[in-house]
Amino acid sequence: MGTKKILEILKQTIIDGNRKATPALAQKAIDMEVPPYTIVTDACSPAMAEVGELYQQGEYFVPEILMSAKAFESAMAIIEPLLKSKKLELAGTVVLGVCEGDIHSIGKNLVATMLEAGGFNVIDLGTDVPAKKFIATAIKSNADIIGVSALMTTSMIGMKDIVHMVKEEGLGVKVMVGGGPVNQEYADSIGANAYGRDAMDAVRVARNLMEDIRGS
Amino acid sequence: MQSGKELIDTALYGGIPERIPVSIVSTAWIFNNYGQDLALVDRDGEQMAKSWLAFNRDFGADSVCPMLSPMLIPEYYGSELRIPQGGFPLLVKPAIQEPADLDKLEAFDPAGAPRVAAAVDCVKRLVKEIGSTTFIWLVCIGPISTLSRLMDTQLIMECLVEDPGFIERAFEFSVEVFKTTMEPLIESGVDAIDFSDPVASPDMVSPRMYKRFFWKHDREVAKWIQSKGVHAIYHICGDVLRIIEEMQNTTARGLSVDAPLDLAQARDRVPDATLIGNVDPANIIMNGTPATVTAACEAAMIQGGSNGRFILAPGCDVPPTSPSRNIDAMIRAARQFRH
Repeated sequence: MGTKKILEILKQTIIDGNRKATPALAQKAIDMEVPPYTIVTDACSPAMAEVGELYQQGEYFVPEILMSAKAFESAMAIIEPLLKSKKLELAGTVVLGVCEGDIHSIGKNLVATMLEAGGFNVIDLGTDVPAKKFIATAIKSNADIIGVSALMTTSMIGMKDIVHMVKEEGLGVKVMVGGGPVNQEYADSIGANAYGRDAMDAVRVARNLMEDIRGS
Repeated sequence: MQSGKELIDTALYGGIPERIPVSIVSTAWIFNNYGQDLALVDRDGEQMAKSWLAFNRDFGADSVCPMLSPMLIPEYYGSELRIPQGGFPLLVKPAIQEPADLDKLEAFDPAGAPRVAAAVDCVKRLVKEIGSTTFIWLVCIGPISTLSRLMDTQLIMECLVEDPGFIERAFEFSVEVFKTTMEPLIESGVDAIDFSDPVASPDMVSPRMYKRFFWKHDREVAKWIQSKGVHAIYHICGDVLRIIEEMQNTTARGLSVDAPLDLAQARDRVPDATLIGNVDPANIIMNGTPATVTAACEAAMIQGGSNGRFILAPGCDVPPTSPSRNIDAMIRAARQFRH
């Protein structure tokens, strides 16, 4: 089997969400001396991009995306240690988390995977994250973007505090928001820089924000 | 003039009531509004009834909506939950950590769950005081989504793909628990059971997966409720346009729909259904003003009710911090609306 073929199989296996098979395929590609960076750029990332397409087309929903994300992560667990020696060009750094008082993690986890597949460095703060922690982490990591998710009407209020604190501290970091009850109108009303409709849209939104940052 | 009870009964039986009725579906706002502690109130039938009776007196809606605590079944089986200040319950540690844990769970015994007795007590008080004129609309989480408080939703999503046999068993178990829990509430005199299934939302699972895994159980629940002489009201969160016909095919007499649904399109798809909804809970009821609430209610009643049976209601549970003036505006909008 040629290197092109193994990358194709790995890509399709990620799309199929077969997390048990992807580590062995990633290892096989490494054993065939495919450069780790190439495995990411030619198989893993395009696979998740295609998963995003399948979502947009109404073919994939949360269970399918979740399994593809798991398959992607399983492959990356094999590849990532080998990437450490190579300085990759990052799309940007995103501090990501779920609002305080909210522990719904699925959407946030999918956003994290899609951003990573899109070349972003993601600092995942998890769920039930106080506004202060978003700010402190963004300062410490010199982040470009803070991404905040909420699934509950009671917790989405915390997004406003984060936007307020970013302004109060005079930080250059952009704030993007998303989650079940959140929409563009709400994002505008609290002064967030952007709203992402779903995990796939979050990548597009983050890239647009990076263009703004680099253009300013 | 029809009472609130008659208005809602008429709409659910497929007739056109004298005016569009209104129901404020709320499991937390009501208790927040009347200064009750959300962490304690669901164990006290008298206090729950007190809030709804006060609501009935102060607001004059067509229904009161006692709840069966969403924490009851998960906590009975050992899930750890917590209620943030003024918020909805959060699952901290699920009872089912892995599929094998399901087999350790025994049949549900209502006698071992004081919140069932509290809910029954609340309903009995409401039936006695106002049940002849006000519709008693019991709100609860349906069996499929109750499972998402017994185990992590992400694990459910994974098992739908990797272990469908387990998911089938888990859903069947949860349906049986649900029926056992509901029996004493049905006997206490509720007019309807509104069971919600947010995990079945097209925001989460495909219509194909909904039909394969969820629909048959929700239909079983709807039919079972109605076989007991009580209306079944079926709620799924998100934009359900793609599955609205299947929702109607469960035989539930009321379809409670969320804010993202285009009511006009839904009405075209299911012209005979009684639609219930769908005022945006967060952006309108919580963050809007009486004027924006009134406008949103009128739009919903025109789209959903101008050519069919309709009950004005929030798209989903009213956020606990919503201003009472917006609830008042919603009820007034229904009372003053004319086709």
